[in-house]
Amino acid sequence: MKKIINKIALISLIFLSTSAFSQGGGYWNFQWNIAFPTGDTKEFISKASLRGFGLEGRGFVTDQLLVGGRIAWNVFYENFENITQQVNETTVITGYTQKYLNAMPLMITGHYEFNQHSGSVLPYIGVGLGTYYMQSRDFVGIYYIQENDWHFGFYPEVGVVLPLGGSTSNTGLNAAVQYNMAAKTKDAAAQSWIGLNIGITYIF
Amino acid sequence: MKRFYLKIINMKKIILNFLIIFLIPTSIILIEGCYPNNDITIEDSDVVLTSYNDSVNFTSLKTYYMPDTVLPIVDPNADPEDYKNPYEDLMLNTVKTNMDDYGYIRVITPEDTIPDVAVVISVLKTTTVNAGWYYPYYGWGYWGWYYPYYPPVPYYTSYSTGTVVINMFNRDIIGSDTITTQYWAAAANGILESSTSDMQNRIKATINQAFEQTPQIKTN
Repeated sequence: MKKIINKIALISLIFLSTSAFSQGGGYWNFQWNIAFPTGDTKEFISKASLRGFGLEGRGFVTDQLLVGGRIAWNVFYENFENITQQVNETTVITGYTQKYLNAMPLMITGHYEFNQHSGSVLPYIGVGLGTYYMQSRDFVGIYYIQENDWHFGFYPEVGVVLPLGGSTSNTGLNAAVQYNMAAKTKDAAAQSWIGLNIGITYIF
Repeated sequence: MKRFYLKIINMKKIILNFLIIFLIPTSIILIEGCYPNNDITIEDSDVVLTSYNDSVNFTSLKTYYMPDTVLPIVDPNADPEDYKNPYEDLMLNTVKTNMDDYGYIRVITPEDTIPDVAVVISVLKTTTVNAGWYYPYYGWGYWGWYYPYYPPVPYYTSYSTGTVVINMFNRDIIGSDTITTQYWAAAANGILESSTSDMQNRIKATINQAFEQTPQIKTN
């Protein structure tokens, strides 16, 4: 019995692998990213970011599973005007305050597509795993404190691709919602934000 | 088997394109992030920093001595003419007004009446220089003429900032060379590029702000 199960498992694995090579196809996504800060990120900058872009490529490894990568860039910015801040218990600073956070995720992605690459609506779910490069600047007047950190991070995602002009079309629109989580490091707090990504898809 | 190898080659091409597309924006971002709206007015450059000694009971203090000059912190090799302070009287009067409002009484001759604290005002000027080169945009359609040399353009910028420093010390510093306990320190810093009336307004506003943000030093 055990030998039969092993043989079935081996054959299944071979079929799975060959089907991956015979499948082909995938997507290139070019997106405008909107980001809504949460957690410690919102403590630093509370305003949503409209300055962001994402570039993603993924290819089918089975009928419904895709593997790929993603790079994106979000710029968070808030102008606090002239404010007084407590530095510590006995020290206070007043000045024109602006805060910036540049966030760059570099991720490997995995997605599951529900409709097997056919139809007028192609919903999917997915995850990204990789690193976030974060560069922050806290300005008071012309002086600033800068921090650069690499964080390990992860995001779950749900989205949809809408082929334009039928299921055989090479172009489409895409929209997705992600929850980006960059883990805390020895020197930096965790960062998180909800991403809303809208863009154009090249279907190949 | 042939189809298998063709699929692998295509996959390699896709991966290579993907890497190139990743690497170019990655390196740009790593070199320089994006900082929108990062230009401010001269007045917006003013910063006031204060710190007080929380082991001091300020309500027990009453009198202070303040010299009738503002001390310039200068390079010993510099020309003294470079450090004339046209706003000296304004600084002294503004500090005196704020000290009066906070309940302090000024002592003119510390030899006759020993004050509780000494207040010293000093000024410092710093010049920052940036120099380098950049590659400007020369326009479309003529790039062939620039091969093999795309000339860079050098740039040089400098700006000066001034800092007014107000220190409140234990009275033992009067007539002494040794540093005593500091009770309160304030620094008001800004770019030195305004007209005279703007400078007067900015100096007055920043000194007033230094007192306003430390009500703990009130004696009344």
